[in-house]
Amino acid sequence: MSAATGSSTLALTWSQLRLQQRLFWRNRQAAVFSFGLPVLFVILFGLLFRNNGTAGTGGVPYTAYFVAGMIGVALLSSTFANLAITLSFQRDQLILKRLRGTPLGPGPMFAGLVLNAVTVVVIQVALILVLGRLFYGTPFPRNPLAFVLIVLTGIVVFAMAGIAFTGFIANADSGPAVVQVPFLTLQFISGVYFPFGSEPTFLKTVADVFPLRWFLDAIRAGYLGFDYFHTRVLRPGPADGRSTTTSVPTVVHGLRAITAVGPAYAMLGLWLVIFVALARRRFRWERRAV
Amino acid sequence: MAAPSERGVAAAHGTSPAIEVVDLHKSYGAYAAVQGISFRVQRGEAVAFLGPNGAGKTTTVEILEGYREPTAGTVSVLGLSPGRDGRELRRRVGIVLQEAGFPPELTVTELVGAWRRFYQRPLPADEVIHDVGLWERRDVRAKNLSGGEARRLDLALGIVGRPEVLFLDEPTTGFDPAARLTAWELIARLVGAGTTLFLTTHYLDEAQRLAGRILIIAGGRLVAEGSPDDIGGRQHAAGAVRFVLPPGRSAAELAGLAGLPADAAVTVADDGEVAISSRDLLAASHAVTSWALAARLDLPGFRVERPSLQDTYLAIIGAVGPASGTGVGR
Repeated sequence: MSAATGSSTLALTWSQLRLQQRLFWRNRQAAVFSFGLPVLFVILFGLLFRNNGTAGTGGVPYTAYFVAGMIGVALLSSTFANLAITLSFQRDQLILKRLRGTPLGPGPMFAGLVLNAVTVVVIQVALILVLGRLFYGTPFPRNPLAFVLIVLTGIVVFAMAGIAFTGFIANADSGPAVVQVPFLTLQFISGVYFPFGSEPTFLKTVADVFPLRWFLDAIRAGYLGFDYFHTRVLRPGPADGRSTTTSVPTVVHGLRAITAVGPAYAMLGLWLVIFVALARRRFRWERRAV
Repeated sequence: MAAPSERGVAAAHGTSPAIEVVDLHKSYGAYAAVQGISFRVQRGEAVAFLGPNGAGKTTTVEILEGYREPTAGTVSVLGLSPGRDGRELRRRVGIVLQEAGFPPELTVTELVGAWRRFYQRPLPADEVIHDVGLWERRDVRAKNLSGGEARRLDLALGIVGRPEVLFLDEPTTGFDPAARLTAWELIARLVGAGTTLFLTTHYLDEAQRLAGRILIIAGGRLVAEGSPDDIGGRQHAAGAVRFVLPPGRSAAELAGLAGLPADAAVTVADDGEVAISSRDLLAASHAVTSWALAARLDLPGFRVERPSLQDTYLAIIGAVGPASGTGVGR
């Protein structure tokens, strides 16, 4: 027991992780919900999209495309949405203020929260991979290294997004509602439920600015082995009689599944810097004075 | 008796005072909450910080705890700057805030256990839970504790790290009398073991019981300082000799008593209680008792009174006037 006590950053982070784990599993309804919802969505939308074939995905089964997107949704909810809601609650209840009076410190406090999100996301991702395989025959990740790397990168970036977003939530009561705006909007325009690129150019440009669409590109490269960033344009033969063209993602293997989506990592890195800067400016430890 | 142990504690922990505040100012916009206060608390000392609501107590304490930055002036705690060396400082101090929440779903035991892990040499969890009087409630979730019980849990989390300096901001608000006594015994024991105490309170009996020295703040300024017994010069302040007027006697007769001090003033209340007030209570009581013994009078309710700490306190803060900018709170 006493081995776990102490003052090193590592020991303090471990203490915070244990505390957050206990909090997470204690609230059983929230825990069930966070694992149940992605499961429900994978099954539900999978059934709805079952007959979509490969429309708009460049030859990839729509269900596989969608299941990859669900990893983004699960991750976004366990990091961004969950942290923004939890931290604004703990801020307004003066739990953060109490923690700040201990030796814990901001570094280990946030690190423990992010590690807690890692444990949750790992379970969610495992569930989604198994369901995708069972129901829709989507193979396990083609490029495991690239897949693990982008999942971990996504956790860090979107966790930081949640911490930064807390600063924009005026009070905890409005937290769950306010979070829905970026959470749902980005899902709809970034290529989770509808193939990316099928939306009007204006929305596509908006999605291009935000990190989710880039994260999903990198997830698909690791999971499905398709690089949607580098598409080949197929020109149908004259026999087809029509002049439409189709974009087809390039197949990527091994490290190529990481390097090919370099621009995605660059965008995520840029946003990480922005989120850190926003968090430093906006994050508050106490509720606003009345 | 306390002097050798105090010296021993100071030697063991270095020479800087536990708390040093020099010309501290803190303003919120145009509102000046703290307007230039200075004081020093030695290691092992127990100091109570008294003052009306809005006087600047919590603002000062939260600057010492590192929650707020001073507008001007310097503060140091254990020789460290609360703003700059917050990390090191928080290993060595315990903080009980005026108000703070708990994760609602965790039990007393779980919370004390979690907080222990933040410190290098914490107290045993069972001991702390027992000492604050929550042993029977140790498996109850924080959300189900009563107000007084939650306050005891606040105290448990504040002391579990074995602090060198303990900050208590109105620690026994909401306690029943028995719980208050238990808390006082615990805090007195910590002070006895060498912990420096900086206590903010509204309860004068609490200050009297726990503190060796009292600082009174009003309107953002220190207005009095001293031990609970002689603050405001209360050992030598004017008091009164009181008794019930015997039948057939008059105030005029009393005013003419031989040996009454020159400043004595005799008043008789409607219920017949006489008050002979004077600075020289020794002479006044001698004059009264000599007269009564000679006249073979029984004097029901005879007593000699100095102003209570409360009288002195109210006189001091009354002289300053009500806190300016009421309602601004912290």
